[in-house]
Amino acid sequence: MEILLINNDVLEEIMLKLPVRSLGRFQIVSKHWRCTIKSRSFMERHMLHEKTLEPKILCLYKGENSCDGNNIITLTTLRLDWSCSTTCLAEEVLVPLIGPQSKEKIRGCSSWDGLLCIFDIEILTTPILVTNPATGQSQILSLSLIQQQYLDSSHTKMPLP
Amino acid sequence: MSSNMIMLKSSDGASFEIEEAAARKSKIIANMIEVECVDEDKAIPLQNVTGNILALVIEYCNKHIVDDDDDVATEEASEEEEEAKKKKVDDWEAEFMNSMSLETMFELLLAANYLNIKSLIDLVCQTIANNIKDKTPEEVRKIFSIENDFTPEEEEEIRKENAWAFG
Repeated sequence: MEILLINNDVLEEIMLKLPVRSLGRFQIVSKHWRCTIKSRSFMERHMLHEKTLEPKILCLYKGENSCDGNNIITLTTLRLDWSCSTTCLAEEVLVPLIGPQSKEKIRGCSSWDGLLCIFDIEILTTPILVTNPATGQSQILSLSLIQQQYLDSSHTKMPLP
Repeated sequence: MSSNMIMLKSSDGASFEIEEAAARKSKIIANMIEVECVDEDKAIPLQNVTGNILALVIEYCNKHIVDDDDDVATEEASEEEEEAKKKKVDDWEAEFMNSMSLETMFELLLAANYLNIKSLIDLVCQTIANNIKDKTPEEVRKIFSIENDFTPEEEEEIRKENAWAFG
């Protein structure tokens, strides 16, 4: 293929239309690509563009077959697809596995800047999981002070705050 | 329907006749018409666009001129009609882009950018993005003729930082 000189404006327009996952990967294409993708103005534009698309649906469900006996929570992002006749089909975009939370009643709590908080409504001392559905990254938070206190005093039957 | 015809001339000397309304999809040409620097019997020279690409641009403009005109009259059109029409345009666009090589897409994109046709820029960018979104960084470098200017160590570092995207 012959060398085409794509100017930066046009390149950025293409990048704008790429999903976050691709942008994460394409940062190693070159320094110029990385700079563009990581620049604040581009990120803002990308976020605005994503908002113009069909809304995505987050599905949170517990996996059943895990080898170590622990339940695994799976997070899936679905996007409505209008291109197939008149029925709207949900297209799976992303299926990251989050773990190793294993309790029974899980709730998701929205969301600042697209982060999702997942916690156990029955056993309050279960660590809280924070996840970013766009990237599939997640992190288990260390116990908060109140959780820690509750855990420490659970033998002495302190009432719940 | 009587509409003015305009002549466009590509960089390789091919001439195209196009309705003014269609040509106005290009902001550049619309501007030229506004300031009346379009001579009726003289073709507008487009130095950066070859004939085969200009033909594609004109095909696109002709297809979309109707839709814009309809915008005014659509108030009484029902929602279904609206949807059906949108679907028809979408189908046409998909077909239009489908037969194109990546190389042609880039040329078309540059032409759309030069002529300032926003909706065509968006369409081509989206198609290119769909085309490359699942490719590896190596493949992307090849497509865009980009040289990797990271050291292996730097590359490894970024790979680690963005491990979530490589899974």
